[in-house]
Amino acid sequence: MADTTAAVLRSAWNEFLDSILLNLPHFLAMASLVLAGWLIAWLLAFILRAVLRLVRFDLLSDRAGLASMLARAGMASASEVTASMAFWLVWAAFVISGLGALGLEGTGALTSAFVMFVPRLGVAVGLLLIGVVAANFVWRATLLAAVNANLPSARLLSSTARWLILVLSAAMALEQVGVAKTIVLTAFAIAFGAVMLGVAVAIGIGGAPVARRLLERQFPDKPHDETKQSPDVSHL
Amino acid sequence: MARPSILSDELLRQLVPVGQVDIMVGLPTHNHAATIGPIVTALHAGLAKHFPRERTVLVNPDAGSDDGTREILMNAPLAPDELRGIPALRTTHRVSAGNAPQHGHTGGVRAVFAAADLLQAKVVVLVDPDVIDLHEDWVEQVARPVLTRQADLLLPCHPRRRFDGALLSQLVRPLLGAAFARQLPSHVSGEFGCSGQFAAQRVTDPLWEQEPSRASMDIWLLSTALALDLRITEANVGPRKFAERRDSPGLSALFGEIVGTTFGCLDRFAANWLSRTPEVRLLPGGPAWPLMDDQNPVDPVPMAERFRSGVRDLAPLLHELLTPGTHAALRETASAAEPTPRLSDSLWATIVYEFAAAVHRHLMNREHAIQALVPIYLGRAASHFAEIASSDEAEHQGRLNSLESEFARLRPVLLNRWNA
Repeated sequence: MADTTAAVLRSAWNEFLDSILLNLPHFLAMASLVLAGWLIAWLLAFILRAVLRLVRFDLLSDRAGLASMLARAGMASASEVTASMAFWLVWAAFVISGLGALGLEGTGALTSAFVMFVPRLGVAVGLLLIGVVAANFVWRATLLAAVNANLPSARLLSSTARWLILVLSAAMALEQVGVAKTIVLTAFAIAFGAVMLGVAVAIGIGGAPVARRLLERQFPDKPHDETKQSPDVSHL
Repeated sequence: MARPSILSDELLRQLVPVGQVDIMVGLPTHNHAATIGPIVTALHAGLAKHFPRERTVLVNPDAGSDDGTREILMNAPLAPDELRGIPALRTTHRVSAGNAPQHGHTGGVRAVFAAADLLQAKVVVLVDPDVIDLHEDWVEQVARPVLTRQADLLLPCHPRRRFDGALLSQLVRPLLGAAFARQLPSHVSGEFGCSGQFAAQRVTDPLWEQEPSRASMDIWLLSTALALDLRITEANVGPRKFAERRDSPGLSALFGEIVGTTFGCLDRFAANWLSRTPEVRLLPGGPAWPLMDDQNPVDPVPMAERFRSGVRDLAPLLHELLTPGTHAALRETASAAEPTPRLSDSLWATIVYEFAAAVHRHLMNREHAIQALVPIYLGRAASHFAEIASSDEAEHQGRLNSLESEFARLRPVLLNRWNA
């Protein structure tokens, strides 16, 4: 009995030690990949941060309206966010490669899924950035045009235009990364349709006189020269 | 050297036989049948009366008129005095040819400049085809100072309503005057006289490619003359009447053109004005602000209301364009209780300087930054209108001189913000 127990224990320990000896290089390979990946990702983020500061990326993002949106969301500067994203993306690639080095079942599929996901993520981030820049441009242009045309509720009008573009670009970005695709598309369609229907109903029922006044001002019977505050004033 | 591609074949064919000239009168037209006949007659009368010994030519680049403008121009009678037997000592040249319609009025001006280059004209005079009461002495008043080398660029001025020209008197003149340390003529009206050399040098300027409007072109020519430190003067040519312009843009578009060109000229000629000493060189004889009788006072309150709402609604943009102190002072002014808030000379000058520097430093999309100034300009115009409502000519001129002095005093603000 004692001999049998000793043999079983010896065999178990031998198997365990064999397995350790067999897998240790894989663990070491994974650890080296993760560590080297962290260093490379950190270095890349460091260089990227320096380059972005050199090209005054924060100033550009400030002018594009990106900085204010990030600040509103409690996030760091645009260059910091970009550098962090690059760090995590590169490190995640190394971590997944490290998992692959373990030779575990399914890690190959995980790696290929990640490789497939990265370009989609890039496109989604690009869509979001373009959306933010376009939304702010349209917001400014609408605000200025409305104020200078003396339209009522200029801020409401311009904010509505901005948020519509932001929501549209966010929906496109989410659709790109495949997050709850059907729900996002359905929710967007319902929300957009509801807003348009609401505006149509509001103008049709409650705001018909206002709409008429706006249209009459926009398309007068006689050309309207807005330089003339009174019949005979010329600003030039 | 003239650029034949700027001159149409038809125009070139007519110009070559004319030979060298002393005075070239440019008259770009487009469907000006209603006004062109009397203008041509008055011009030829003036040339025959005042410049009998000079070689002269009237050049009409026409941008595709379909109302018979060119026919009327070519068949317009010569001056009555000539017909009564005062012989012209020189041949009377009159040239009319089609010009590319898409280039409009300014394309016509460019063709006149190219023609002046080709014929080596000493003086170029540009006439507004919308004028309806041109007198025969006008051409002498505009051409003589240039011909006798007293001026390189002469801008005619005429009596106007006290409320007219606020964009020039409140913004363009004081800004360019302070930047270039020069007192400027009071009017920029689309008509001028300039040396042939000045005209010829402008032919290849890249600005033509941007197809400037008529008003922008005047600001650009004035700024160029300022940058080149040329002799600029003005002549009071007496009352003028203009036919209503068909292409008058709205305030936003007009403001964008004029202020955009002014800021653009500051940018383009920065090397010329940044190094200038702050002592303002005065205009010979001083600027004239002849006024017409005003029968219809302007109510500044609607403009003041647009100023208030604009400053409130555009706060996020103004926050980006103005320094915190200036923005706070502007908000305080806009929230004043009186019907027409008083936007002081010093605050207005500081705002204009900060906007010019913001556009130069690309703090915001250029057009957006300029459009954000429109409501503030309306506030300044309202404030100015309220101040001059009952002033006489001397008081009116005093107010404008005082504004220019304030712009000149605060010139360091412009330099400081420009180089920030």
